[in-house]
Amino acid sequence: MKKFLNVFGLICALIFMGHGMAQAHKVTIFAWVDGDRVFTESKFSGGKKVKGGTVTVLDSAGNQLLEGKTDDNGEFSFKTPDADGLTIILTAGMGHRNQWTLSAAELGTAGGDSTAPPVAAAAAEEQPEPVSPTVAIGLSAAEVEAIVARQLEEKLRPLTHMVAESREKGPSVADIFSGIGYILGLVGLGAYVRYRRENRSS
Amino acid sequence: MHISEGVLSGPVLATGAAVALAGTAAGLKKLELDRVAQTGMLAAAFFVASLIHVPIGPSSVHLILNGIVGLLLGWAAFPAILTALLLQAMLFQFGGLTVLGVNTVVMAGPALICYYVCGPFVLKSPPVAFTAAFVAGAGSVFLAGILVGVSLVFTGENFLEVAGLVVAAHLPIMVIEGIVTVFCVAFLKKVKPEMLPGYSAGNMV
Repeated sequence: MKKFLNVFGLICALIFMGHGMAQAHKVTIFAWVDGDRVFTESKFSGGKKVKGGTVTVLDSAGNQLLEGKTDDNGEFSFKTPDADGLTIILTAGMGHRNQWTLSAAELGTAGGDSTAPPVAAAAAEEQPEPVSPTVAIGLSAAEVEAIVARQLEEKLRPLTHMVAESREKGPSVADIFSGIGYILGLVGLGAYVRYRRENRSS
Repeated sequence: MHISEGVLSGPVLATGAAVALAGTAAGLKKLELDRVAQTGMLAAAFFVASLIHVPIGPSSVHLILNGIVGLLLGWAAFPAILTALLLQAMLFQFGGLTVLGVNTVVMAGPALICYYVCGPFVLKSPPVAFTAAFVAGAGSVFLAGILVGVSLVFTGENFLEVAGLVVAAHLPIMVIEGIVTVFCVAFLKKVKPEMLPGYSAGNMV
């Protein structure tokens, strides 16, 4: 029993050392569209930037479009290619890999592509005049759309980053305890199976 | 030390899974009733150890503890490590389900080697025992690094380069785990020598 308590104490100590650091052997990549470029940010969870990781960009059919290396801040950007969705794969060496998918809608709305306009154009036609006549005069629907898109992007940038940050939450205390719970359950199961077998054979 | 999903080719994954399965079967077969609880405890310790991150060196590394797990469990290290890795994959997204076999072999294989190589010495006189314990703790991490290199050879990465990188990144971990293993062995020798491999009454020095 004393041994059991010792081991249990050690495990508890390990948990609380781990909690707060919550870092992992995992790598993440996050990509977003800004203007006509796609930006990517790569990190080992725990916040360490991936330096010199290889970023491979595939289109939705799986053809490789381009490839590049992350800089010292773990960032890599490229001009938005003409594709209906991108899969961006990060290979950080030593068996680390992760990916991020950008849908056609994400590429399209920000890039001013032809996927979104129907709705946007309709809205733009109705709005310009009542909103601000001085600005609206002489502006085509496309130009208004571009302005709105740029403003939206600026407003959304902090949010995009927030999403990126929140995706990198390490394991929670609940995860850790449920894992230990599973193991204890399996120990019980294993002991039960063994016990039955040994009882039967004796 | 966890290899991510989607890096390795099919044959490597299949080989890893087969070896892990065989090792786990052997481990379960050899597992006696009174060792079940100990196996679970060490699986839990291994499961949690990967959350302890050491911010030294060029990459992101964490404790592995496969040396002490192997030293105390022998073949039962396979089921223990497989279970812990499965839970890490599901709950922490370390590694993944398809690479579970390969990751198990990468970490449990060296654990088993340490059991056979260093195990016979841990009940000897303190200097010998502590050296063996240190070698077990550090060596199992070293060998795991080599195995990562071997697994990645088939994806076109250069073996020496990858193995060198992994081992270099884990140098601090090797030292820490060596020391941890020495403390564990020293503690168990005093308190609970029957947990150490090869114990039978009267062969303590």
